[in-house]
Amino acid sequence: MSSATSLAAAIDPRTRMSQERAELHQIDASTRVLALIFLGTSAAWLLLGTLFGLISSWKMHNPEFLSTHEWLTFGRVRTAHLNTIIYGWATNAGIGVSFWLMARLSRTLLRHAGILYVSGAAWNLAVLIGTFGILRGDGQPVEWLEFPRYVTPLLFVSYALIGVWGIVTFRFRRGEHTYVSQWYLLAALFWFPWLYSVAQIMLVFAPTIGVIQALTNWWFAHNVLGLWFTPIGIAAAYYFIPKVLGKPIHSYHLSVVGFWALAFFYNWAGVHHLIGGPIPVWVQSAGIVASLMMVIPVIVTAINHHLTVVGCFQQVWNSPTLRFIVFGAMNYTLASLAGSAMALRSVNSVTHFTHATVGHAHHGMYAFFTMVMFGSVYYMLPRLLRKEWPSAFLINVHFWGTAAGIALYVVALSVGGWIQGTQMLDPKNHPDFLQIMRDTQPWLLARSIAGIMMAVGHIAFVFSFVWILLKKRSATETDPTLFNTPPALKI
Amino acid sequence: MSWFAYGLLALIGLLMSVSAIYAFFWAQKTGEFKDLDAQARSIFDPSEPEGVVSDFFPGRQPRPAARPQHAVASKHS
Repeated sequence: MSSATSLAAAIDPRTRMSQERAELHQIDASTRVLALIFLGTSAAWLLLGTLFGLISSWKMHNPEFLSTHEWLTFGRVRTAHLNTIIYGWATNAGIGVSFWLMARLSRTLLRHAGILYVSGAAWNLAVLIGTFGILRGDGQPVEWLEFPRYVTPLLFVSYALIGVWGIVTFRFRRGEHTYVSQWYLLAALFWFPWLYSVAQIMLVFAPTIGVIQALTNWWFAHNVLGLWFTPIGIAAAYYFIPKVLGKPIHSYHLSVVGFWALAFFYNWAGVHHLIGGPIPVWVQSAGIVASLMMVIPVIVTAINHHLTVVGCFQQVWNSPTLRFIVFGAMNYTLASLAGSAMALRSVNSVTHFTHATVGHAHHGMYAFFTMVMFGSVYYMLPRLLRKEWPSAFLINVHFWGTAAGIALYVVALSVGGWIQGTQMLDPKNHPDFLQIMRDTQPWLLARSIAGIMMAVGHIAFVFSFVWILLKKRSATETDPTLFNTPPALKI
Repeated sequence: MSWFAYGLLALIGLLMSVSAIYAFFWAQKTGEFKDLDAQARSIFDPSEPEGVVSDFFPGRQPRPAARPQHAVASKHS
């Protein structure tokens, strides 16, 4: 099933496409090893990142917890949590889902996947060394870019290969039409190397002066969420919601508007992290305007996702994939609208420098993106391995643990952060800063409990993942999830 | 930071903007903004047809009779 196109021909722009459209089960087979590498490593990073997250969350209300060892101090563990989740779990899962989706939508086999195996191994090695470096105390003092400078070139090169290969896969498309998910995926693959290389140059290798560093930092950090994770999450939602329900998206017209609006407005939005900071006010205002303009793509995407689902809630409930993805799509709407509101100066003056910001970051990264990735894995693995998920019980534990956990998490930190913010703005009634800090403790404890619930869900997920990998395909097993196995592969 | 680095970054930024504009006109030229209904349906094909729900909790799929017959008939065409 390997391609007849040589490596040189594959990247030569003059190569003409002559092969037939590939069948979906052939495409699934050609992406199997690749998807398993990226999804398997992402699941391992998820567990490690959850552990770091739990430790740092616990330290927020019990500072003496594990504080006698320098490797486990708050500054290092919290940073290790952020980086293992962003670059270990979310990026690996995103790449695995992206390539499977891109190959399926382009109706083409994945060519020369060996390059991707090598770059996947290099990427994960770099994340491992980087995490070790952070715990050792080598971290860079730049939020979202804390990996020590000795691993960042390896990260960039391995990612650049992955990005180029995504675009090559799109070039060999056989479909007569381009689907909106392909637009999102192409854009994401294209934007991330740009963000990463520019931020690395301007912050680490040839550092700029003063507040430009802060500007670059938040331009990068917010765009990683908005121009890398968000397009992948939306692409997956745009594919799986209509695919599982078996009905086309509510309005394809709106989806095109949504894509171009996102591409146009998002790039400026990161400045809202610096409202009130020592940067020119016009830059802040431009950032606020861009954040509010993001309401357009968000509403457009929301209309499309939610109106497709209306009337089909029974099917959503019966499908593990859609339970997670529809939960994620709903939270994309909520988190994005909350984000636009938090960019307003009046709201921002309360929420800035409080726990509400942390709650909001998890609302976007977890309740939206991570949940969509979980849903995608539930659809992909049975088709890649041609086996059914072993246990509905474990999927239920995973769903309820993570959904209830993140709901508690976001509510606790948003409410607690808002109270903290209003108290800090009111020195007459709250003159004692330490008392304001003590008042946040119950909310922080609630956050730790939410973290434990999510961790239970993650353990159930990884358990399912390992179980479906190892379990034998039984002779009596029909194909319930795989509702129409091709005769050649009939179990 | 040297002016060389600023120039390089400005050039990269310009290229990104140009690529976005190019992508927009390319999409216009190749008909990405036409026949939107067909594009919305491009995720379905005979082996995974429209009108069939394709994901269930393990062991909880509806009875086979509940599935449309054309899904079985057009299998792997």
